[in-house]
Amino acid sequence: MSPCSLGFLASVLLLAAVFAVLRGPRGRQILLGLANAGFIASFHPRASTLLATAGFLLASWGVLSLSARRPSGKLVLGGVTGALAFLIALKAGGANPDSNVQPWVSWSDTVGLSYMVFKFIHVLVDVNEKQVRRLSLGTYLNYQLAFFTLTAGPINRYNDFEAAWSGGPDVRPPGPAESFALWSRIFSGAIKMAIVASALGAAIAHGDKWAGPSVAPAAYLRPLLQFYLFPLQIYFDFSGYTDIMIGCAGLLGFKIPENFDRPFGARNLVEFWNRWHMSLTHWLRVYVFMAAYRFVAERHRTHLRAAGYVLLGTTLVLFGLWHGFTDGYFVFGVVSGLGVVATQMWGDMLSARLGRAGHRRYLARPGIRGLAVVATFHFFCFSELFFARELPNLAGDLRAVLDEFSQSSTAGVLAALPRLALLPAAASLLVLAYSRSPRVRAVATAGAPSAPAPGPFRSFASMTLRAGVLALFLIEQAFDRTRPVVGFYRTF
Amino acid sequence: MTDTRARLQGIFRQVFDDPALELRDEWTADDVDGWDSLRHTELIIAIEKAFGIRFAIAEMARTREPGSNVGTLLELLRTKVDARR
Repeated sequence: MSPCSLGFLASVLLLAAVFAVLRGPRGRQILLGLANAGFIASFHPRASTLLATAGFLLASWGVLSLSARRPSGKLVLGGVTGALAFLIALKAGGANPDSNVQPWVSWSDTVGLSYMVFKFIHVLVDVNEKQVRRLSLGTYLNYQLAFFTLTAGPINRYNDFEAAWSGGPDVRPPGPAESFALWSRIFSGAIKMAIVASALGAAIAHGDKWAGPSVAPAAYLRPLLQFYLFPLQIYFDFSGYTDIMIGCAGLLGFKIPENFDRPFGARNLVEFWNRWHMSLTHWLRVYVFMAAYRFVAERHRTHLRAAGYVLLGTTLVLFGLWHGFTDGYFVFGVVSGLGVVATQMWGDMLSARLGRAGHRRYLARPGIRGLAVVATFHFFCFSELFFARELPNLAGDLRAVLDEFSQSSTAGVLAALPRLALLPAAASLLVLAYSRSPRVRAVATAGAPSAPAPGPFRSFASMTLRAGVLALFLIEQAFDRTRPVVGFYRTF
Repeated sequence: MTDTRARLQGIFRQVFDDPALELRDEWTADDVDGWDSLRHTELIIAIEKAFGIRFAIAEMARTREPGSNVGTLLELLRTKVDARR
């Protein structure tokens, strides 16, 4: 079920209304359990897929129960290895396109299993280290299957979920102003996904035809549009999805983490990855990088910093491969990893050469900051080329550009250049202006923003405006069903 | 109490290579130059070695999250040091 669909939005409205009248945690737990089951059923999974998912959940619960009773490093190692092997087997054993026989269970059928594996590892490590407050089967199953985190995160913490699930004194239906704000966020997310991301997708696919040959040859323009618009398309699609789910969770008394924090205003790649798909990068930072770095540091005293750089790069490679075992995702991970390591090394080198105060002065120079933001944006766009396309397709695009180049006269190429340069120039200026906006600068200088909550009237007005825009789009779409709504989030 | 704080300040100075650093409870990772994931892990390892304690992975993460600050780290450290006694 698409989170932008009328069916989904109506279901959330009904859920929120029932939640508001229920008293006590038991009724709310039953309500959320039913909602989770209904959401899974809406994907029409095959029985074999359901069986595989249930098998994973029960096996993982068994490991957790054992670990809670008798904490053991070996059990954690075994549990993590088993869960990753399950994930790898599913992702690597996809359907054979040359065969008519469908595999018993394939990755494309499953919903949210890679997130479930990551959540299980988090709970297992924390249970083993006695960091989980209350572990129970019902809570664990609903933590894993909660519809607002099932398909694409955000990866929330078990303790946070458990606190809301068990219905402490703080768990109550949101008041009018908060409800309007949450609905406003849901509508805003739906607009981002259904309208903005879809429009960007269409521009990538057809932008060269819309512009016409007088602007530039299609072979030149198509890769440029892909380069600049695909990262934006993913951002609007995925952050829109996250907005919707954060809104839904809030209406049911759950607070789930943010996934995006104005990433295109980041001044370097380390900062960028702290603001993009934050819940996953946070998970990787904690359960892969920090755990591995401490493991190495406890055993080796020499070349520690070099080991840190290698682990940092490796973490980003794993981030790439988590999306799927394709050469494109691997290269995306390698490019991102190299970028982050280079950023970290550059920062360390500057700090060593200029001293702490000198480094601070250097970073505060507006020209350096502007250049860094634009360069970071372009580097990310470059890395996303490998994310978006399989390597043979990318090579095909490059061949088309070279063919066009070799067939064109020098005068023709020179005439196209200024028009082609307009797109990078406009993108750079837009990113620069965006990074200088007060809200983005506030994030850059003082960590997470904490804007005061708007009052009920403002929240209501904002919600109504967004609902109106979305309604217009949904009505228009009802008359033209040929345009699909992009659902990138569903890929994983 | 004061001893724990003074020792923690010494570790901060060493890890962040800043002999003049004066630790303040309200400081977050944004207030200390170079307090990134790499340095945070090195900081935790140095604290563990100096005090003979061990942080859980979740605690390592918690001490570098938005809203967390030096005061949070100090409090957690004191709890662990007291529990060891």
